[in-house]
Amino acid sequence: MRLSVKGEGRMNIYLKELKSNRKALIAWAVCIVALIAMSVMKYRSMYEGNAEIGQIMSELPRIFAVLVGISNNVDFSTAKGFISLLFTYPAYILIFHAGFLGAHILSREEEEKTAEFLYAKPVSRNRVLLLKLTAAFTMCIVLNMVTAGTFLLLLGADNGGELVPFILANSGTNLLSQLIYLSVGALSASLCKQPARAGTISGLVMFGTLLLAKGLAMADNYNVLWMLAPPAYFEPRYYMFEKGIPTLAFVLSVAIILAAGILVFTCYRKRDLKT
Amino acid sequence: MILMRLFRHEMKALQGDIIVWSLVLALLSVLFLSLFPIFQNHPMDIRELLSRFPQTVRDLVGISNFNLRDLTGYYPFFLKICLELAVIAALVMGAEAVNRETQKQTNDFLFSKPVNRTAVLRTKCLSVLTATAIIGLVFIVASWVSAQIFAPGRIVFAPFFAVSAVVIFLMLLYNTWGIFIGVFFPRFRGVIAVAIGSLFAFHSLYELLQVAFGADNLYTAGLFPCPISTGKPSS
Repeated sequence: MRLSVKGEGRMNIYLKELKSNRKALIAWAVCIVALIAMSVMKYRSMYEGNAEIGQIMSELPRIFAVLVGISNNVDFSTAKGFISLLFTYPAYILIFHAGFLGAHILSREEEEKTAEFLYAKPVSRNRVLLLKLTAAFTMCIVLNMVTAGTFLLLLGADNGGELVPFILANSGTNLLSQLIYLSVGALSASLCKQPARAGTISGLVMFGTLLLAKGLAMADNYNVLWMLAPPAYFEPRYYMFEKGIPTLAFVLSVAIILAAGILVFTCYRKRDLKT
Repeated sequence: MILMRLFRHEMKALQGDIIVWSLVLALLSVLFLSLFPIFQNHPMDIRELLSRFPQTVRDLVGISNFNLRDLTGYYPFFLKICLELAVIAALVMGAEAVNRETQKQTNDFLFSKPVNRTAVLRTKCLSVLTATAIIGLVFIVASWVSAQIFAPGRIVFAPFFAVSAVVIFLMLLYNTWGIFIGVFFPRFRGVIAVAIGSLFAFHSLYELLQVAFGADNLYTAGLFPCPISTGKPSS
């Protein structure tokens, strides 16, 4: 009897997080599905089989091509070339979702003055943290699945399923970068003195690293700065046109996730909650 | 008096947003305009390259009227990127000004004051409007100064201001939408998602229409809040 009550209490925090973020999650999912569907529609009606596009793109100066959003010389008129370009945009949205979610899921209790209520419950702070982060991770997985599902539905059957392994690889790498930004967002929420600032700081980190990744692509010079730009770790060209994703990318992302995760758990326990 | 105090309180709440977004937009304009000399001296003329292709393909790329070697062609092109960011900022600011009270459980406190709701909403709108004006003006000043530094004497102030002021007007439009969301869905948390989503949706629609009716069609340009067709070369 006691055990079941205790177990219920645990699940409640998890379920409540899922429930209170449900509408926002639906909005993000609709946003991603609309983006992919619109782009695929554009591809079907304009680019498919239009060989001149590829010719223009190959003649544009590189810096200009990167500004427009093309970071490698690909042939737009084929599904493979188009999807390598399309992969980047949902990935940005997934990253932003994860970063804001990681910051808000922790700082919200303080902002909405419910921290006193929650942390007075007979559940340890670490357990609350674990449950909240699990809920956030679940939502990341859902959004990732929606993205991969939309890709598979709209482009999976092209050229006899040629793109399916790429879509799966993209989904896996997206999950890693989502985890990176989720932990960075949670870290900013546990370190930031003012809870309202957590989202802003997490957003600035995301924007800065994205800009850095773009800058590296623009200069076509992947030096040591590459290690500071997680959005550049798993560029689609690595697994679509080149040898594969560098091992360093996996090592770095696991290191970031672990370091940020350990810091979150140690800092949040000592945090002086604003009430 | 109490409204004045409310206005000051609102401005304080918006302070972080104002600083962050002004800085982001100003830095972007400095960054992009500092890249302009590279395009100016680039041996290849993009307009000439594009003129070799049929009209459909040119509309498709959406840059048919572009001359990136000239600031009048380059500036609207990068303005589009800044607009996309400014629009997200505007929507989020508008929505948060209204739903902040609900989300922070301060509704009881605020509406028990001897002020009617309309006056409160009016003050909130005014503060958002002020914030928008500040962000827009910082952006315009930053890009005007960096245009003077990186491409001296290449552009006249009046048309420059007219094109840049688009940032403020488009932000006002999205402020309205944000306030709309804040009023009708005060518990909604996915405002940023809606901002990004509507941006992409309108952008794709705009591109589709551009191909369907041609890049020069005035109605296409006027239908959707995505004014990038300002890139007509002056020569």
